[in-house]
Amino acid sequence: MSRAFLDAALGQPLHGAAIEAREGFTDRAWPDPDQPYHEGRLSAQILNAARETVAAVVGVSSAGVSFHPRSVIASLAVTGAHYALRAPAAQARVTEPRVSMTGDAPEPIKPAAGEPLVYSSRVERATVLNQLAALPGPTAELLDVDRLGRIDTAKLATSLKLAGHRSTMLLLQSANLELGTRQPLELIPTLSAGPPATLVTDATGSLGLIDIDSSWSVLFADATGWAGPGDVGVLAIRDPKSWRLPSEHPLSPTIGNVNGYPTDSVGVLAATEAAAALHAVASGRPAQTARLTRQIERIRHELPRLVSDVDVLGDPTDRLPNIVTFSVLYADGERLASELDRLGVAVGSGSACASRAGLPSHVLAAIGALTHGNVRVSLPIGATDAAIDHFLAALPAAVHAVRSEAGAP
Amino acid sequence: MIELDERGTVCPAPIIALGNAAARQSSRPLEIALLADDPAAAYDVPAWCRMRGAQLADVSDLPDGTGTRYVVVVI
Repeated sequence: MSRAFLDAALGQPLHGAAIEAREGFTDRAWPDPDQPYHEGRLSAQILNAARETVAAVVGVSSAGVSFHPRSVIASLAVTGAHYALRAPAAQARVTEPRVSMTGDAPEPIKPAAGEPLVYSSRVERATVLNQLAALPGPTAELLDVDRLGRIDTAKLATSLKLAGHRSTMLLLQSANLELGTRQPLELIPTLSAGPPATLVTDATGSLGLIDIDSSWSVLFADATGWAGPGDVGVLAIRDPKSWRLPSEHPLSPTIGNVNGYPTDSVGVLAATEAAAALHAVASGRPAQTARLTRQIERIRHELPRLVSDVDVLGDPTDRLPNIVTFSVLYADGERLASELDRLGVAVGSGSACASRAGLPSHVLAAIGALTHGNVRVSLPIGATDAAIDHFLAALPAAVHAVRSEAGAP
Repeated sequence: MIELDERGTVCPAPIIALGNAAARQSSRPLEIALLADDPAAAYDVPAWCRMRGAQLADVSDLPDGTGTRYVVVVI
């Protein structure tokens, strides 16, 4: 039986352009690009071309682009941007990381000499919130979001007004990976009363797929979102003054510094694959994006007709083209996902019942959604209409099976 | 008022119990008290009320610390 793979947010098939790049460069991209001999210089040229390709999509100079393992890009972006904002006296202090604050009500920010204020939102990815928790200085204030998952810019403006002339860092996703909702980054520059805040943007799932406003200073993204290699991430820095890695950072010994910009920490071939896939996806717009947008629109439209008591989440229009999450009342999300799997459909489940960790998804809790019965559909770049047909045909039976076995009304 | 003791069960069981109680009784308005200790109920009971057009009348911690009492009114 054919399968419909609809969990692209956690990984998707490598883009054909990346496979071509791998085949084309595999015999030339292996030497250390820092070595001064012929082979090294050739490798460095290939790496520079990859940087330029990403720089053109992101909109910075190629010197500001670097490639790293996806597991460290959030740490590099957040720690580096924060450290650059700390006053020299504060930078000299090596501060104990604070305990995790995610999920708690924000405490009022207390002034600490030389430490920047940090604002973020309740709907950032858990891995990103963990980076915030590890920063020295005052606890980050997490902004509330509305029912669609969008930050309250009026409240942010009030907070920034209170911050006055203190240096400020804002950490915001360009769009939410569970809800699809886009964040209004273009409004950020208009909100500060004093000097502009340093905006660090998590563009995972967005880069290559939607336009990202140029208000950010530091941007990071997993290549997964544009069908690049699964273990690569991109870091982009607009101005070297807005990023500096502290020497006590665990990655400091392995990541060098050229004119204030970080050096790469993945191989040249992996960087080239990531760049080739990003270029192909970004230049494939708008036709590809229009198709994904239409496919999600169709799912959003059909869901309430196919299933009773279903809550379709996120912004219906101002969103990522390829993601929708919905909650099915009286259904266990994990059971629903495994029932769909049995019927040939792979989807994600963000349900509290799925994790059994005792605490519901912080994103779903923040928007007041049901924390059970959640299904996330995230379309791979090349999703077919047949895959959508397959999903929509399987869903009513899967929901019926799960509700019946649980004795739902 | 109907009282449902769902302490010890986890989501979606407390919400299913709530839905079944509302479906079995046809009298309206119908007041239901749900006792639950699943942390997800704090989010799911208000969401259920919103989806089903019910009202969340009261939320209080049980005096013996064994959970939370949610009072909903089905209209």
